Amino acid sequence: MLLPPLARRLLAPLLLAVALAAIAIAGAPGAAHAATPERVVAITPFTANILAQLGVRPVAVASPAAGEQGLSSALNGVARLKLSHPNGPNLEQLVALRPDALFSSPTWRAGTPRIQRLGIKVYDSLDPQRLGTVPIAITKIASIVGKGPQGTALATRVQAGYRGAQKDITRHPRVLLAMGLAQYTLAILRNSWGGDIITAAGGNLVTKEIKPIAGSGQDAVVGNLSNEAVVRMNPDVIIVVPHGSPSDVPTIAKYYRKFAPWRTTKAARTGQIYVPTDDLLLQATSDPAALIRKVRSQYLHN
Amino acid sequence: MAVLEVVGAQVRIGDKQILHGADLSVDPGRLVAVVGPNGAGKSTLARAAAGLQRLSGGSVRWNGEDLGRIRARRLAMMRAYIPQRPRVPEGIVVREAVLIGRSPHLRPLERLGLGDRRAAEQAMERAGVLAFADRELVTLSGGELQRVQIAIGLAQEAPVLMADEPTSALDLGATSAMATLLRGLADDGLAVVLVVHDLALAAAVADEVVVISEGRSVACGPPAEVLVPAMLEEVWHVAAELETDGLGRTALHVRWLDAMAARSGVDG
Amino acid sequence: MSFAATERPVGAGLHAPAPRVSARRIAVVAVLSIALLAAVAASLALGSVKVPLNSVLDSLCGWLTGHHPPPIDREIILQLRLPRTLTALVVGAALGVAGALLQGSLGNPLASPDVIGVTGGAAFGAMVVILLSPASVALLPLSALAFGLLAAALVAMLSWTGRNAGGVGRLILSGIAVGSIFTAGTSMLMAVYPSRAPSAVMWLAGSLQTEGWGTIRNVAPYLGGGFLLAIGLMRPLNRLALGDEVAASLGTSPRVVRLAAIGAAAILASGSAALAGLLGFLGIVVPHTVRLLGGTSNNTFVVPVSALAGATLLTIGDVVARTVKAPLELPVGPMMVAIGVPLFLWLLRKAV
Repeated sequence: MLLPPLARRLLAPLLLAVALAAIAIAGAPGAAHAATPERVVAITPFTANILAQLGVRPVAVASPAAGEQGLSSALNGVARLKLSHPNGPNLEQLVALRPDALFSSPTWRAGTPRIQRLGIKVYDSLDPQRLGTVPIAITKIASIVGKGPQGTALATRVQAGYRGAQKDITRHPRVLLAMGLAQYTLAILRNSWGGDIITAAGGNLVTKEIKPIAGSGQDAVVGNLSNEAVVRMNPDVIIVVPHGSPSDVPTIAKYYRKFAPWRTTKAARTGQIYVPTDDLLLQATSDPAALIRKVRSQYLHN
Repeated sequence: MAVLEVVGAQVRIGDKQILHGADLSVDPGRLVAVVGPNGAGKSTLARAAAGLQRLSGGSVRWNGEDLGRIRARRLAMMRAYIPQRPRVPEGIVVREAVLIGRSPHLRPLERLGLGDRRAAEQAMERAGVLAFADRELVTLSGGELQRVQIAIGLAQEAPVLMADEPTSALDLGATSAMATLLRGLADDGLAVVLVVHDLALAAAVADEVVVISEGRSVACGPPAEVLVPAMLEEVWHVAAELETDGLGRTALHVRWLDAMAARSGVDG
Repeated sequence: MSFAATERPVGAGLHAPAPRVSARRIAVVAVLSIALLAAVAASLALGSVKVPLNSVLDSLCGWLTGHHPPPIDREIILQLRLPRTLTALVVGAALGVAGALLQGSLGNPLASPDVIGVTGGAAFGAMVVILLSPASVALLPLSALAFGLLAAALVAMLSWTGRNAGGVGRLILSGIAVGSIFTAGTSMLMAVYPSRAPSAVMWLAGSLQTEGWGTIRNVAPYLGGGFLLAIGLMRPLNRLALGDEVAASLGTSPRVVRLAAIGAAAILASGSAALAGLLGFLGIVVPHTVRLLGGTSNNTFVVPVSALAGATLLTIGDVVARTVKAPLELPVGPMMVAIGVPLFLWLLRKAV
């Protein structure tokens, strides 16, 4: 999904108008800190890293879980919060930081109402769920923290970057992207971050024809794919993103390379079952270009 | 030699000594009634004799053999024991329940044979339950259930039948039917041990009574000789007299409202 | 014998039991057997991908007929559908039998593998691997099995020592306590590793997705032992149904029977969890359904027919679970409940 340039130029003023309207509705007491939040907490790697690139130093970020993508070195020394399911940050720790705004994601949406009741503005839909929404998310985050022009520049740069990374693709192998662990093949479906990245890298997603059981939203991203179907689809490349720490990955990779139900697939026969040590294919990264290049060179060889 | 011989049986349950030394002896063709006040240890004595309650002293011998040396399944072929309050399971018909009584005769996994089925039918006929052999246990009356329990015991084909208060919950007619059945079984040649608190009933059916008081057997002999007023007063603390006629009728004449007087008489 | 003369029909037979009761039971077994065969046929013929029927037959009987199907079809039938069908049969049977053994030995209609802590233990064992130690993923079935048995052993130890050892009430309470310890452990792990939850949820919902023959080959000996024990326990459990006193007077130790029944149920339920995750519903409802269908609680009927009914229900449930949204799969547990519970409630309404 790409916005025409005109719309993109109109976006920032439009958001400003919405923000002003919100201030008007919130009334005088809220006006004091609603304009530009000074103390910001970002609990997803994408939002934290984008803030860092915009030159905003959050008061706290979430400490990355094992296997989760890293944070920009510009965030060294920033307080780290531990997240827990399903609400995200501990409310008391959060309040102690006295933040004005929290950048969250749909993953932690369950905690949103409680945090908002504490008078903290929560943005939980700015963690991109698709590759195409990365520039929009960057612009929105930038305008919220009062860095509109820098945001537009960054968004343009990032977009140009990942477009460039898609050049000169020579092969389009058939790819199965899965997550999770154990004998369940939790396949990543078409309308997803990982699916977009694989497609952008020239991969031909074997699950692209499959309609998700859950109609929309985050749950429509993954499907428990039958192993019979995997055998019949016969992917050239299988990429499994397991959970676990990077040190677990070699053992887990061995398990999947010997996984009996997949043994007849081309991927298994040609040794092309890959197990990344990070979760970049599951969760948005602030540098999609690098990710696409990595997928092309390490997994798809095109 | 008596088929069952209990000498000086002692039983402790937890910290409590229930039996302090009780004797019991049964011969084939005889019906022995174990009588005594509530809590005296009648049932405990029967359970100890049947091998269902561990002894803390004394001895139990079956056909001269010490109880401790008899394996449970062999013991089940020597005596059948009918508990006071058996469980009444749902979804089981009389015939199935009686066939369960054949267990001691079957090796593990051995199928029920024709002989087993025949024995069960005979047991049901003898106990008078054949008419409702296909009814579920839960649909039966108290008297019918009690007779099914006897049939289960008879299906064991053991020479000794022990029954713990089989009449305690029955009405008059059912009690009389049970009495007839038990007496008949003794006359058929079985040794029958009947734990019972109804003295008139005991006097009518038993060849011999054993009186248990405070965990001890205090008397033993033909009912007419043992259940005399002095004994009734000493053990039950009542002024009462047992009357028997030659027609098998018995009655217990009790001065119901004079219990306190009798008690003070004993104490004094 | 005057009472007997009035009640006993003269010349009443000394022969075989009433044929009417048997006819009903034979009908139940016949119908279930046909349903089972149909379910197995459907399970082999239908799946997430379409395999032509002659390929299915050639895959299964190729060694007889000499026809060779396309290798991919053969792989799907022999390495995926066949072990999966077998797993459904074995797990369904094992859980049905485990429930029947526990209900029979504890004399409690609510007894199921949950009650002796096995379900909680097995779930914890699986979560330890999935959440805490993902690198040990190959040990997932074994861990579920081991922790299920550990939980049952703890329950047995707690309830077979001290005063009133082996009492039913104490056993059930120990089971619930031990089960809740493991359930707490599971919740703790889920809370600490939220990002790892999706696979955990799949396991907890129950699924027959297999790794092929590997797991079933490893777990089969345990289940075999459990089934053998169960066969030996059918008649002793009948004695127990008449009460502990009657059982004891028939030469059967109620405590030994109960311990053996719990041991067998623990092995069967843990083995099932190792193969298919949590499918608790089967253990509780299948034996009751069998009792209602057969009109009897006789364990020589209830135990084997529960195996038959459990296997049938789980196989049908699995066929539905993997075909409705093919090539995606739904968890089999809810499918089975959707099929089994209406039948059960209908029987219940008729019976009670």
